Amino acid sequence: MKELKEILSKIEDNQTGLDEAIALYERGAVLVRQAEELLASAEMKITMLGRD
Amino acid sequence: MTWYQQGLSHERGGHAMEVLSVSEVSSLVEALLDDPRLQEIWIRGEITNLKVHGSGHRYFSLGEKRNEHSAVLSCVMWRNDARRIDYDLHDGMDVLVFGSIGHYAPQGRYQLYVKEVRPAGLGEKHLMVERWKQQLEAEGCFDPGKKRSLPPYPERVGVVTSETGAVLQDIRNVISRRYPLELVISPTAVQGEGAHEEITRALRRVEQQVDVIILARGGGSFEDLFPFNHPDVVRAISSSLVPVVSAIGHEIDVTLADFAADIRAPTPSAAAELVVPDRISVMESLAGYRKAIGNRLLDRLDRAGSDLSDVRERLAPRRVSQRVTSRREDLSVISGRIERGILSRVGRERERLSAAAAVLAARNPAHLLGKGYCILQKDRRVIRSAGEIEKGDSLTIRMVDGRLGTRVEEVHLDTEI
Repeated sequence: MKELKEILSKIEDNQTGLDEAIALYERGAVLVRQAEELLASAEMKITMLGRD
Repeated sequence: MTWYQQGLSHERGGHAMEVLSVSEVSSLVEALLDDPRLQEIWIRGEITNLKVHGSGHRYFSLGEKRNEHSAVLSCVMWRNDARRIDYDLHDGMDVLVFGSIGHYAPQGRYQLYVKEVRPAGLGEKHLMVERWKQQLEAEGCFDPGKKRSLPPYPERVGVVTSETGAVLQDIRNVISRRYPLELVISPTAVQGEGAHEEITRALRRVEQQVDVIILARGGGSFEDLFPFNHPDVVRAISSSLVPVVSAIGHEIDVTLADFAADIRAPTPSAAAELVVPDRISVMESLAGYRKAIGNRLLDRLDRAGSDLSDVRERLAPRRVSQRVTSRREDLSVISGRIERGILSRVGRERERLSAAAAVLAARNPAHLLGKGYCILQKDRRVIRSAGEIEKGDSLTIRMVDGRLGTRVEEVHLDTEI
């Protein structure tokens, strides 16, 4: 989420070259897809610690 | 002077005795009793002579028997204060009472105006919590400046609670519904003797493995929740490596652990909701990002397109040839100025040169010889003074058109004349 926010503000920034902006867009799309997949496939895992 | 007047101005040893009225004495006593040592104090004693008045006020005595000595304190507890007591008072009960000593003028007696009564065993625990609270506060365990915010997307959540019971089940349910992740359960007893040690160990055991900790316990009596007031537990929370969310007892029960936690949740379920984001809302914000990033890129491309057509317009052939012509004009103006500058400089230099040539011509020795002067030489050296010549010297005389060899016959210096 943090990286997505950074990507968003970099794309907006005119200092960022167009090539870079397009690369950032592609990176952002990958991140969004990965995050969605992660959320969709997330399963709860439970670890029980032993007492001393 | 009547006996009565005598009485009023009683004299003894020549000093007039001051005589006070009852109400003056009464208010003096009242002022004396208004001493900080007697105000808002805790007193332990045994209840005797308990009377519940029809109005709801309670009257009783607080007694103490020690060896041969006994002491009694009259107490009154007003209806509004008595209403807060959630158990029955009875004679013979060992209690801690909180209140202030005051003076009741109409009956000429002092009494304790009671605000709070606690059974002594329990009361002592309350007092202990108060003392711990002050001590831990001084240690900075409750410092609001030390409160940490929760990680927005934790990967592992630690749960310190009893491994049996509804609390753990509630937390599991909420987390599996909202945002499945790894729960690391660090089981502990949550009440009874030694529970505070177990809780402290359970916190320490889990803090290095997780991003955030939930410390939870279901509702219970003050006694049940007591381990969560223990300084060891409070210190373990305030020095925890990761943020701690507390959910201990019902919302109305507050333990010192709650004060030390980074966030206090009203219930274990609420704690679970605070700790993990909701999967649905995360999905929504991801979709929002996808859209926003796409739109921003399109904006950038639009802007780049319009920048480009702007440049193209400025580079149009008509514009370019205009600029070439104008530069060419600038160039011819400059080259004209350079040419004129050079020419005038050459003229000036030429004039200086001919002037110098004239000066040089005027000084040519051949020119002087032409006027009848001649040059005298001895041994190829030009002679300027008669002092350089002696009788018999051979001299050469140079004239405009030839040379004469001569010998000196006489030398006459002008000084000798």
